[in-house]
Amino acid sequence: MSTAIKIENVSKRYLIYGPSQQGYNNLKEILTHGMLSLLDRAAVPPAPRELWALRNISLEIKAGELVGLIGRNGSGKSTLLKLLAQITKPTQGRLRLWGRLGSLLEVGAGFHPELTGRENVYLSGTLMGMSKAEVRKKFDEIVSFSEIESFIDMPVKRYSSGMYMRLAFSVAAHLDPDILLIDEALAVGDMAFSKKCLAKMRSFADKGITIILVSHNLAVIAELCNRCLFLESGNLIADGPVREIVPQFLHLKNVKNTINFDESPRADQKIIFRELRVNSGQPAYHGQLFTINITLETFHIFAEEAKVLIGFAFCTMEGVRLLSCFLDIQSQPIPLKQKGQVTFTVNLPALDLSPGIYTLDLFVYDIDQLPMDYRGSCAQIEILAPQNKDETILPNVHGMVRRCPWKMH
Amino acid sequence: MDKTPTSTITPDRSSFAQLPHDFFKYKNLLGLIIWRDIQVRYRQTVIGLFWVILQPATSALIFAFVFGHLVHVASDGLPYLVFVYSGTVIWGLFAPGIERSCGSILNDEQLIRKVYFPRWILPLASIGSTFIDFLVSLVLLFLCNGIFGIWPGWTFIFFIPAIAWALILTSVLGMGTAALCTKYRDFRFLITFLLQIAQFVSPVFYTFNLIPYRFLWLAYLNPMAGVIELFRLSLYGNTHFYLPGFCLSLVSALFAGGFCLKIAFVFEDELIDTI
Repeated sequence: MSTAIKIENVSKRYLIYGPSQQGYNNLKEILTHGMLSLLDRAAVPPAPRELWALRNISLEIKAGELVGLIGRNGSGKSTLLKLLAQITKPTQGRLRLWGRLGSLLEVGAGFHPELTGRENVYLSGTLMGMSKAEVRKKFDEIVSFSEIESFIDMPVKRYSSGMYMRLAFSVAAHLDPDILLIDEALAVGDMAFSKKCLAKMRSFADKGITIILVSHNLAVIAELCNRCLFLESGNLIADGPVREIVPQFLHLKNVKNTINFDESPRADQKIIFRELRVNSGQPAYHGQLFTINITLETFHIFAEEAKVLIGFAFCTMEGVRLLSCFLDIQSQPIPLKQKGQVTFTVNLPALDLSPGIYTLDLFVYDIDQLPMDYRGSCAQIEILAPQNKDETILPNVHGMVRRCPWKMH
Repeated sequence: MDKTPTSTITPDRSSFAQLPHDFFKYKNLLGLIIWRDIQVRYRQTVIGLFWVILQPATSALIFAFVFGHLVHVASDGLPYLVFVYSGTVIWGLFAPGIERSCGSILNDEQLIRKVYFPRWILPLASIGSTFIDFLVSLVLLFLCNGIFGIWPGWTFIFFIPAIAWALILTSVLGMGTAALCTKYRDFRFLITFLLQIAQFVSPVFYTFNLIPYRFLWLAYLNPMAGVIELFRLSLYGNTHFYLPGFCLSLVSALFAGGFCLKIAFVFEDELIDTI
């Protein structure tokens, strides 16, 4: 198979300047910088900090491969796509591409709100590299894919955001590139349209188009890609079949069952989290007892019945809260009459989140709902399918699931 | 594998030699952005393109009243209105072109962050859309000349070269100022200010006949001075035209243009990381 992309020793450095974080963007800063350096060497702002967004990346992608790119925020995924799309230049190294490149780094790139849908199709298509004749040829197809035929001559500023996204995606989907870069563009429109987008992606794959896909949605990557690249702080730390890399990624993100928080509190902080223990170190199963132990340290003597909301929440990998649990202070007041550490044990008799991977948020709010301490995504847990065979009939979804009583009439 | 790659991306700076090639490669895009700018500017306005004529025409009328009627500024033997309007028309290609190109990259920041094309397409498109405005006010100029019964003579052969030179000069200066204004935001204010001064040191509403001979060389250091005089000469035949001064202005334009092109290409690649 021929090579579509070859990346050799590519590094990208960004320079982060002083407190303003944006460099000498106005004359005043340049002038004061110059003056200060003349007067007093010590007063010169420190040299810019270097940030290596990518370090020595080398890889080769064959034509027709479907490559998923994963990594935490700030790991360099977007920078790599930007380099491939020629938007920014590497600091070192060389990237070579064989074939026409299409990029979907943002849905609706180049759309102008004042122009009509029809005009925007031409504009956006040309921006993405189509010729006028090509856009004309595919125009009807683009419009019918987007399902907004009757609004095509209306300015897009009057579109709903869903319509806008549909039209924008349709243009990109009809680009016919040899290599396609996609960044988080799949979460477009409603469920039905998302499905259509995914189907379109798959048809690209069937046509032998090389695709590089960045997504936080591991399910999409697992479903669509056959190879996976895993970036971590600018380094390529794993490259291989999706089935092997995705669990590695999860493992790295996974945290032990006991987490300690040992930073010192702020001056005015009244309460701080000290330890979290998930399910006593045991695996968590759907539908079974789930226990959490939260240890807090107080630096304040609360009233007889402390008016605080202590709790935790289960979130999706994208940070959407699915289930929030907190200590019931109405039926059972919390006595926090002395300073020091206290541990609360919370039981969920039957964990009704479906099997999958979730993150945990920890929070303490005061009576005005202001956070006194908050730990977002501080732990990650995997909820397993129950071992009991009778219980395994579950829809394949993320989130809360419940078996409901019913009657037939 | 051994085939030559479609594109090779290296840390090397974009080179100036690439410009003609890229210009042809992206000419469709350039046209489309010009068209978009015009559409967006005049859509939902009631009188649309009429605004294009209204602006220079009004300022010409005011100048004609103040300088022609009240102060009686010399106008190379032309009716003052014709004199000042012809200056305003060609100035209307230069100054608004530079001013619009200053903001062009910042206005389309979202675009250049997401799609690759040479950044200098954006200032060029701004100047292109200004050129369309210029063509419209040119029609009014011919109309005005006709009303006064002035017809161009053999000097009309300089008409196209004068416009072409004005367009090219504005384009290269616009490319440089666009890059500067994007990198250092202060330049936007500075350039608006400089353009105002430039209008008064250019032969827009007075003729260089009025300048003492020993200062004439200074006046002709202005790159636009030569263009304006050539433009007027092409239309009216016997207006003030001083060949050595014209040549000086040409050289000055070449230097300014070269400098601006250099700036545009120095910043071309790094703009995206600092924008």
